Amino acid sequence: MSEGQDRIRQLERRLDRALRARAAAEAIAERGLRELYDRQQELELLEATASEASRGLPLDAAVRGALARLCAHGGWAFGRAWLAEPGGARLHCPPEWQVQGSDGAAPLGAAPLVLDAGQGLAGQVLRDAAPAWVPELAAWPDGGPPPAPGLRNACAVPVAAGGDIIAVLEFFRHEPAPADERRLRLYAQVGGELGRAIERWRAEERLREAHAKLDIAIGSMAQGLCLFDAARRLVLVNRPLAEMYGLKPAACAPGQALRDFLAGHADRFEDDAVKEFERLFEDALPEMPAAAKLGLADGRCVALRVSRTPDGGWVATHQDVTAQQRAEARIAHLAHHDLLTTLPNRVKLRERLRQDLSAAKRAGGKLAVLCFDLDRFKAVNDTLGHALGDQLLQKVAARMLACVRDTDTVARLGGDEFAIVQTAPGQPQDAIALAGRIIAELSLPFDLQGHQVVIGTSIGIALAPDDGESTDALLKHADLALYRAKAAGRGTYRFFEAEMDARMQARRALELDLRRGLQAGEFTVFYQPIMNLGTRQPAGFEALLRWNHPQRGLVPPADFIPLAEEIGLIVPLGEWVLKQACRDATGWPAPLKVAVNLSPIQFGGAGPVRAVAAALAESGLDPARLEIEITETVMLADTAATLAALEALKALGVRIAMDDFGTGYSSLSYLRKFPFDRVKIDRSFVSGLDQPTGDAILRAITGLCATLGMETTAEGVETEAQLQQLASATCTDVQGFLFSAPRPAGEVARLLAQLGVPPGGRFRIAS
Amino acid sequence: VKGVIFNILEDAVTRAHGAATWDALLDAAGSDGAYSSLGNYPDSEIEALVGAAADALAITPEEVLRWFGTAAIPLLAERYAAFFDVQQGTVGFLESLNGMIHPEVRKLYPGAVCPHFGFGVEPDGTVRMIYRSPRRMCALAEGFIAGAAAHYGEEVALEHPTCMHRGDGACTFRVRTRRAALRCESQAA
Repeated sequence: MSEGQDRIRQLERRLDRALRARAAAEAIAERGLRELYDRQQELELLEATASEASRGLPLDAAVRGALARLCAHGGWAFGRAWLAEPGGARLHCPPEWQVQGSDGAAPLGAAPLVLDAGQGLAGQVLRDAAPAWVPELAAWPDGGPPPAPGLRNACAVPVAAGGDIIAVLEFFRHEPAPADERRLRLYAQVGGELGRAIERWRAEERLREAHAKLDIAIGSMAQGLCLFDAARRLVLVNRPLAEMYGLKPAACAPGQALRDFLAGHADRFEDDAVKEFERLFEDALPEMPAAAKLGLADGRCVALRVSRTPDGGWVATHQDVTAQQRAEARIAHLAHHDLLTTLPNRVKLRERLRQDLSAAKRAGGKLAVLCFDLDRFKAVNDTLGHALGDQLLQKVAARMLACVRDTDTVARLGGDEFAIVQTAPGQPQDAIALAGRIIAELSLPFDLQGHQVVIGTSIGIALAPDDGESTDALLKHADLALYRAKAAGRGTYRFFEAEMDARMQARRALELDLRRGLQAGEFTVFYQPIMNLGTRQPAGFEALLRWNHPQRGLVPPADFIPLAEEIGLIVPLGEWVLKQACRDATGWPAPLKVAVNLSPIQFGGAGPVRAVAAALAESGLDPARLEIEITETVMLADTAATLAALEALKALGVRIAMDDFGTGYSSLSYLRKFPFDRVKIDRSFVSGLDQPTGDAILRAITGLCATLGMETTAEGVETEAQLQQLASATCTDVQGFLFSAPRPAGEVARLLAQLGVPPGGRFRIAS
Repeated sequence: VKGVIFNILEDAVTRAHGAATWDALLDAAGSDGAYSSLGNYPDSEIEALVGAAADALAITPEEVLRWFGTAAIPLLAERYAAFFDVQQGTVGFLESLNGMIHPEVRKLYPGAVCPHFGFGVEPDGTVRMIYRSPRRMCALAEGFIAGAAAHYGEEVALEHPTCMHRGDGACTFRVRTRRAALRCESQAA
């Protein structure tokens, strides 16, 4: 080989080396460029995701954008995103979170999909919180069927936010491919960006919701509201406020100064209300709002409340309280006035009386209180009905008002009770004149829908300061005087007199005394013998209640029975007498009877029957030996119920006597209503026997009773002459001081011994 | 080993001994010699070339590496003047290896495995430099240090008290430099 050939071969070798080195360098450079491109792509992908997320796109758009970019970047046929439930138990894939890649070969699902944690590729990624790559789905039995046939390669990455997996991104393609860790890392980065976006989006969503709720809340408040900042510039006006004042949107523009805002609407307020409004801003302190009621020019009333806000501003709430004000005024009126007559009621009268009293006291003047009661009003109500009764009251009120001066107060106290406070100084002449005027006015007939009605009034008058200086005393005294007026006959007036009050006080003292006495066992039963005119022997005794008062001694029944009846004390008292009498009578020789009086007050319902049965059962007295005496007043009451009670008593085997016969209005008719066993002839007939007609009347009564099969007892027999007349008039029994005054139970045996006479002999008179 | 090292070796050999010597070395080492500066080549190739050179010159591979290191510095200074210009002397240059030069190497040649040196200064001002690498090319390092000193016109006193080749865990260099007056002119020329 020549030296030249060697040289050529040597150079060829060097050229070959140089060429191969260049090719290798180019290949390396190309690889580097490709890598650079990939890096660029990855960066763009991350940037796009981050910038889209920060642009405030809706969540769906952000997710779809990320899926589309990753599909394009990785050549995926199909991508979808799963949203994790809070707690991470399940994944949901809405249809709009499924995106086709460039080849468009994988069909999109139409229905939302659900996966449990650990189920399928996405479920595993959720459970493991780590990206996963499946090179060949057919070789991965855990994955379940692919979302579309023919998809073979898949990967999935978690999307984390705030430490939780909130979503999973999943991609598929038709060709199998080995795991690409670098790509997975990139996708995880994209997932991170998306996670931050979702977190931000959720936070914004919560804020939006809170704002929306606040808007709704502020807008649907019943109150109007306006908010001012620390510089007193308007921040917001809610809808109710705009409506309340009829503000146009331009008038509610934020940023205007409080003063300008108010000045623009000054014509809507009453004078000075705007100043008041502005003053509240000065008065409102932190923790201590300022409030006031402002009048509007159109007559409405607005309650305004200004509070400080934590940032140094003010919030003013406005409430239209016009209706409330009116309702309050109405309620106040109702509380002080009578609905029917529109006159002041008792409450208002007392208030006015108090005012008038202090005025009179200051002026050293007098005033009169007149209390009225309508005569025969109940009859009108009962016969013509309540509607006309109400009409009558209205007409009465009108006539009364016509009689008084403006300074006087006419009030309706209730029912048919009225009162007038008269402030005239000339007392008692002015009160006398007014009473006379009203009595005359009210005695004129009233026309009630064609019915001519005549009523009248009684008036009681009390004068201040003579009869009292307090409202209570004056009203009470006028009322006492009214009782006196009524007692004196209808259509008249009476002034209060101190003595009336004394009687009232005495009555009250007696009442207390009575109750105490019953408790203390101060009552006792006395017995007065009843003599049979045929046998001339005692036939029995009448039980008579006595009160053995520790200070007053024996109190006569007439002094306390009416009061006991009035206050209802007669019921326990009467039952006690009944039991005591039955007990005492069992100690007497049969067939001596005991007669016990039952008060009309005791005749209510089953009361008398139960009381009598109990007394009989307790004492063991033969019912035939008990005689119950009732007065005509009992018969006056509810007749059907009374008759039923009398029948029931009779069924017990008890005898029934009509007491005080002849003093009532229609005594004879009672005899027809009930088969009395006995009639007790009132003492007035016995004392009247010395008069020309006395004997005839007596004989008529005894004759009638004999015909009806009723026995008769004459009461109040005091003289032998009376006894003789009674005997000849065939009276059955007699009773009176001629034989004995009522005596204590312990003296009955002695009385029997004294009065007992052989048959046919003369009466013996007890000493 | 990065291809650039092979290129510099070729350059150094060719300049000192001619292109034919490089061809002969390639033949002796059984290498095809197509080295691209961007490429990455097995460590065994540089070992084979060093071995072939040692055989041809009848010296140790360490002495070949030491020569290569010294000869490479001027070539490197031509290619990467900036790294040399910013330093005032050998020690500064050595200290900039970890923080400046190797990071730049990694940028240009991704995947390059560069050694990390430990530095310390002894009380007398001697710089202590630690080298630990599986390649155990401490001789190359010695050559680089000598080459750098020549570049900066300094006299260097180099000791190598511990060495991986002598069973130590790491190599230690003790470096003391002193500015040379005139010789540097002649050497730089």
